[in-house]
Amino acid sequence: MSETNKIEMFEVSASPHIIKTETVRTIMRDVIIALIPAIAVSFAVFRWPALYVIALTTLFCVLIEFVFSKLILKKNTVSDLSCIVTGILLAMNLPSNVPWWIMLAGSFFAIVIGKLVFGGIGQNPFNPALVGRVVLLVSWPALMTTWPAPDVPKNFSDLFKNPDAVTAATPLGVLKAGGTKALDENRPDAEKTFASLKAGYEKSDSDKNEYSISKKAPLYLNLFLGNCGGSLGEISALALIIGGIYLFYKGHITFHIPASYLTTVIVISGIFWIADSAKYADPLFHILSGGVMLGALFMATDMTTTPIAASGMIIFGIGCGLITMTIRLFGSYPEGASFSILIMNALTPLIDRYAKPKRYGV
Amino acid sequence: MPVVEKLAVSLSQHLGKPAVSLVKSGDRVELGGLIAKADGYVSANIHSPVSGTVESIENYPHPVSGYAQAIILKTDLSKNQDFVYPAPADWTKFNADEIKKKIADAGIVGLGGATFPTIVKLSPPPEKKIDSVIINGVECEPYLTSDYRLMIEHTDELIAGAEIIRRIMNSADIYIGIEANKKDAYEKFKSKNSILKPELLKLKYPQGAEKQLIDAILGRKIPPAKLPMDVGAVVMNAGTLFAVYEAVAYNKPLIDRVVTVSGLGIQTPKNLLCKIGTLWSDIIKHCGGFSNNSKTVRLLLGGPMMGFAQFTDSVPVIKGCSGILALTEEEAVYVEEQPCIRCGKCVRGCPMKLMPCELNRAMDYNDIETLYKLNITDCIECGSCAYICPANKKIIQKIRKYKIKVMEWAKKNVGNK
Repeated sequence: MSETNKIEMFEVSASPHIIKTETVRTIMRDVIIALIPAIAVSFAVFRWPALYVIALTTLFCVLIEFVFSKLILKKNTVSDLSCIVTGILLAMNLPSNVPWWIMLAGSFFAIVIGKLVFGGIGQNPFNPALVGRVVLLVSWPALMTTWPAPDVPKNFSDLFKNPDAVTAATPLGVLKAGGTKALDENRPDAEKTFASLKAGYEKSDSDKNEYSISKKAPLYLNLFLGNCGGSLGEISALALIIGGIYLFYKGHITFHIPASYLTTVIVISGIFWIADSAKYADPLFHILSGGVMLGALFMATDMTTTPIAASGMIIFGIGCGLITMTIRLFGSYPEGASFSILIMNALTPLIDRYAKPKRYGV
Repeated sequence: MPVVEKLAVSLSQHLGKPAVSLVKSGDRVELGGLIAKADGYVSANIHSPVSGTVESIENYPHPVSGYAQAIILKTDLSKNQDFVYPAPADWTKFNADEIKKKIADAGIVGLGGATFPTIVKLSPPPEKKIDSVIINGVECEPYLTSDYRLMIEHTDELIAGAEIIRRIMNSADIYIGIEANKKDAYEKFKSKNSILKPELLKLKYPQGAEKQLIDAILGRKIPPAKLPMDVGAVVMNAGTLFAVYEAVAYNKPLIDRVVTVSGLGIQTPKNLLCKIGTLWSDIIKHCGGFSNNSKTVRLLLGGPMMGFAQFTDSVPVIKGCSGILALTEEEAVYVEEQPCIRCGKCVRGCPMKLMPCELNRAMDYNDIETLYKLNITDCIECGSCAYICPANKKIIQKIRKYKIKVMEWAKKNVGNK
């Protein structure tokens, strides 16, 4: 107490008087951190072009957000970092050899049409990065579906060389065009690349042993690690799972959507595989290839565009799985993850209307 | 806490009607003497915490209602001001009505903070069969540790209190809920192997809320707009139980209570036994005053989640004063609202299974009907939604206001249910 007779005055406010120090900005920062493993794999597999695409797309997104948030929302919303997340996620959905104007167009559609016209963060019905990707996919299909061949460096110094300008189909593309037979034919290739991956390390007797194990399932191991053709971020299931676990640990995503999405994919592909394993690929192949893992962990878990209640999330995940598998098995596109998530985004308000938490005590 | 010269004993010590003063300016009062009488059913007696004289009865700052009538006492420092404990009475000879009378006479109210007169809680209507009494040993809020100290230091008294309660509650089962971070208190009760059965509960907020506590221990969910007695339970704070024991065993009226004095703004945080009516400024002085390291910006009655902010430290301790918290700039931050990103953390955090984010949107549109449909009146105002919200939405602050609007609307449009 002060010696004078001064009355101490304190702030008066309604409780709670303490709040968690988490903000939208820290959540977005955590998502960026969670994407680092996938970025690292894209660099290892596609080298400098990968980093160039990620950096330039993110830069475009930030600039577009800066200019158009001032124009449309009358305020600068770059600082919530969501435009960086959108930028990286959009880049994750691009091949590493796209020209710069594709990135610019994608960024524009993602940020402006996907988000700002609806009123900015929290108001957008569709996942902005997927809006960008799908506009690009249907507008410039050739550019969007020509993927460079994976080029895992044989030794450390190779990492900094530019990759060969060879293109390759994605595993799902191979499957669509030639069926499981074509996949099997691709196997020796995949095996060879895996061997080259191992070649950089010291050879020992135990190595041989490991190699023979990997020989049995080289395709899956390659898919798991990311040694295959595809968009930047979708290639390595492992890197995506690491990022997903981080987000789960931080409490930003729940297991509902990824689990129900992947389970649905496994069940449907499993049914077809059991019915005719010569014609249809197995469930493991389906969850490891294409954009399912990226979609399930990073796109379908976008907070704004997915249901809030747990029951709604499960419906959302099952819906994504059904549509993805329908497109993969019967559609003309080899991959349907982006479309499935966007369609379910559209259904989210409807799901939210009916899927609510059960009232306490009733 | 040493006795001080000036005390302000508010006539509004409890939920319900203020007590009626029995003394006037200039009267001499004795320690433990009745100075104000309960007015009506939901009200409670007030006793003098000290021996001394009545200076005046005036409007005085009150930690909950801003200002309220209070009896200002001048302590006679030459006299003994400590309650003299007689030999404990053999309460096993008392019948239920005698025990109840002692509890009512002692002016005991719920000491967790809600200050509901205890005797009313212990006298449920005959058609409500109470089979379980739960002693709330879960500190209702972060920072507060007064019940914890009580459980460790007065274990036997609490067990005796439980036996007293059992006599008037038809041999109901008596549990004490303790949070997992106070395992030593749990072990202590466990080793006594008495009728007071300890239950170790998960550490979470709001574990100390009545509905959540009953759910955690008995697995019973209280339906909307119902009371604990509707599921056969009565919940009572550990501090209240201790007061019941002292009232029955020693005829001691409720004239003091344990107060947690804490927060970064306090030089030496303590748990103190304070006489009702002691001014906060004296208590804070006893704790070394406000810390010089950082400025205290908020002074609270109770905990940081549901506590009442004070504009001055010259408010008195009332019966419901579980804690005095001085929060500094680092603890009590104010952040501007940002757009909701529908992250759903408020929904997962809501103990009443509401959708705070949806409520928030409906409140922004002043959509009373939607708020009614979203069961806004189920809200127990724990504040978890506003605490966790990454967009810093002031959800609970708005809910308090809109609950009243919705209740008025429902009266007119829904009819009596």
